Amino acid sequence: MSPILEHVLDATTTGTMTSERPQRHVQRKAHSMTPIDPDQKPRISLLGTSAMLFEAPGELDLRTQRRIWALGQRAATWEGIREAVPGMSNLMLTFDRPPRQPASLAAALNDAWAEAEELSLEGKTVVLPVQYGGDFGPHLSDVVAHTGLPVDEIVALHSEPLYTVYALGSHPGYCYLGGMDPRIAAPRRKVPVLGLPGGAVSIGGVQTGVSASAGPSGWNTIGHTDMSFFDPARTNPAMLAPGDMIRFQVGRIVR
Amino acid sequence: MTQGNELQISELKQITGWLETAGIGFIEIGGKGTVVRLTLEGQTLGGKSAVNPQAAPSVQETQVIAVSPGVLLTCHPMRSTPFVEPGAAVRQGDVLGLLRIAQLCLPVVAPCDGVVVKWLVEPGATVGYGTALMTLAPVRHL
Amino acid sequence: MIEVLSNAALATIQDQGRQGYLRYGVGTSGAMDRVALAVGNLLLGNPDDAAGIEIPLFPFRVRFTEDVAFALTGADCSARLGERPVLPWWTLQAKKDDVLTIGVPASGARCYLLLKGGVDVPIVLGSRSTQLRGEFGGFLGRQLQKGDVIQAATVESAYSEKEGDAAGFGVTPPSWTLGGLETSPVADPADTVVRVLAAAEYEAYEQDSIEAFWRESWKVTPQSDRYGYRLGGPVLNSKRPVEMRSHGIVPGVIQVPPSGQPIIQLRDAQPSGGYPKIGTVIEADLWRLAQARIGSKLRFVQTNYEEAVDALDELDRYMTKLRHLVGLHRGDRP
Repeated sequence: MSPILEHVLDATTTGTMTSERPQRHVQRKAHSMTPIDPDQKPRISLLGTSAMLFEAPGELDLRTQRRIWALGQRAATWEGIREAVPGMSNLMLTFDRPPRQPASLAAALNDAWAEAEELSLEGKTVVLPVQYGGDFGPHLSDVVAHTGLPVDEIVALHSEPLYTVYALGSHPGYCYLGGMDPRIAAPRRKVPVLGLPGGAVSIGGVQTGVSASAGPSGWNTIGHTDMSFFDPARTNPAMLAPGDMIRFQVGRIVR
Repeated sequence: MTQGNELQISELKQITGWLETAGIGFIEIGGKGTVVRLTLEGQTLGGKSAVNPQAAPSVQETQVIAVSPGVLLTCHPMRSTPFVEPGAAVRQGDVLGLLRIAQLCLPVVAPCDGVVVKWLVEPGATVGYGTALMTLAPVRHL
Repeated sequence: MIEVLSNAALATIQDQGRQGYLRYGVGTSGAMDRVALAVGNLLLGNPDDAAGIEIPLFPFRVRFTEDVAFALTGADCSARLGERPVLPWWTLQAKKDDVLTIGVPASGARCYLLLKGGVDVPIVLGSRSTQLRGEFGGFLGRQLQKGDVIQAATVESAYSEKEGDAAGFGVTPPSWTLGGLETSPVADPADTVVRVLAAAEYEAYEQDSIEAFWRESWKVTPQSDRYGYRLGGPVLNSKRPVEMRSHGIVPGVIQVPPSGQPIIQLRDAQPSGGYPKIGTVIEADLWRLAQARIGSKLRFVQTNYEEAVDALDELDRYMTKLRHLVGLHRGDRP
């Protein structure tokens, strides 16, 4: 039995979804849609009885992520959905109660994705001074080894882009950032490392991020920044939100 | 008061009389800092003959009565050792067993200090309110 | 209401979890054994969202600073209130200055101490559960230490102890009703069996790895806690290296890092991750996992979504029945 839910579109699956379910025939707006590649369909799967995971096909880019934001905003209002949690070109829907017909929910997600227009969430820009390398960047040498690039070039490539906060996750206030140069990609570690401090700047695969508190990580930690990312006393507890932007400023490079 | 810690001679006589009747050859009674061991000559350990009221009219016994209907459990469902064995000394308020009604477990509680004589009902049997579950030999100043 | 007498006990305040903040990176936390917490609250007539104390390390001792009713559920910890034994899955009235000693369990891994009215700590982001990573919620966002004084919410109560109440009452443990799960005849009865739903990357694994996943028993290594259980057993190999984009996960998700040794993500796990997932332990069986000790073995049984939802319904029916039974018994008291 495949864990991947097939997109079933027939009369029997109209099941339990609300009237929010979109019409089948949709006017597609070419300028905001990624080209439809018939082999590149979204992948939808279940996480036990607790959640459904929607993974968008194609590139990990801002255009895809903006459509994920749109999909999440819409799906969050559906009956039985507790929360819509964007990830990196994916969306997890947690359930209040597990739906009896997950295929219906999958169908609704596919339909909503086909219609999803890029949601422009233009937020604030934050500049973070980073100390690269040294005690706070214990895995910078691993990135050097993997990429074949010298430390200075890795730092230059990492600090050059204006990154967009794609999603929060991992731990309170942690931001997954989009826009990292693929030349400095380095695979996640075989064994996660325990006890990394808050403010750790790291690379995991093609992604980069900054931790908001001390804890374990499977990513390659290359530097450190001081910043308060989370305040549980606030109604909106995270300092950064999807759509905000971060620029890393090179404070120091410790070799 | 030192008397509080000692078994009275009369109580000792009662207990030995009951031991003979019940066919129990060995008993250990523990109180605060005191342990008394009684061994009866010629008796086998753990005998289970019925109490014959004619044989020992002076032996005091009390019955522990079910305060609700239920299935009698002599061990907690998570355990295999019984709450008490015949011959065990118990204090007022100790849990001797459980009455189970579906998933609810109500305690069968010792009404006084004493020594367990025997269960009157098999473990697993369903009992009604007021069923005599156990005989207990009350002991003062345990 | 109680003063903690033990140090370094890893005990934390937990309720049923903090829902709705995954998109801020805040995991749900909450009791590892949600059934034990829920039943403890039922025994006391507490609201369902009342918080209690999760105790994973033993012995653990507390002193009651006031008279209060309490309940003890979860593992059978040979507990004593002063000299008197306290039965497992039981509620009892404690008096001021009574010392509750929770001993080392013969089986099971965690027990729960509930207080009448529920543990009174501030609600943060909708819950009283301890968010250890974020250092907020529960008792000052940390594990309990010697000297901590924990309050219970005061309850308007005309309750007066009646004759016959002094011994308290209890319920049968969940395993008595919900039972163990069927597995192969060669399995050790001491193994904890849980049902698993395949996850998205299940088919990325080599056939012999998949077979080993279901067939073998998995050891709960010492690096296992509220964040997750790291398992020891055969190495699971994917057909190709899998590097995934970070995505949301939930407690029960079984990730396989490159080492090939699976990790079951649990209540304090990161709410998102990028390791491939072979399966998810179903929500209805997480309480069983919570009672699997370090050094013990797990077995996975494959299930489908419908069966997994049925298992949740079964759990609901069990709780409803208990609620009814206990409610009837408590009916003549607040």
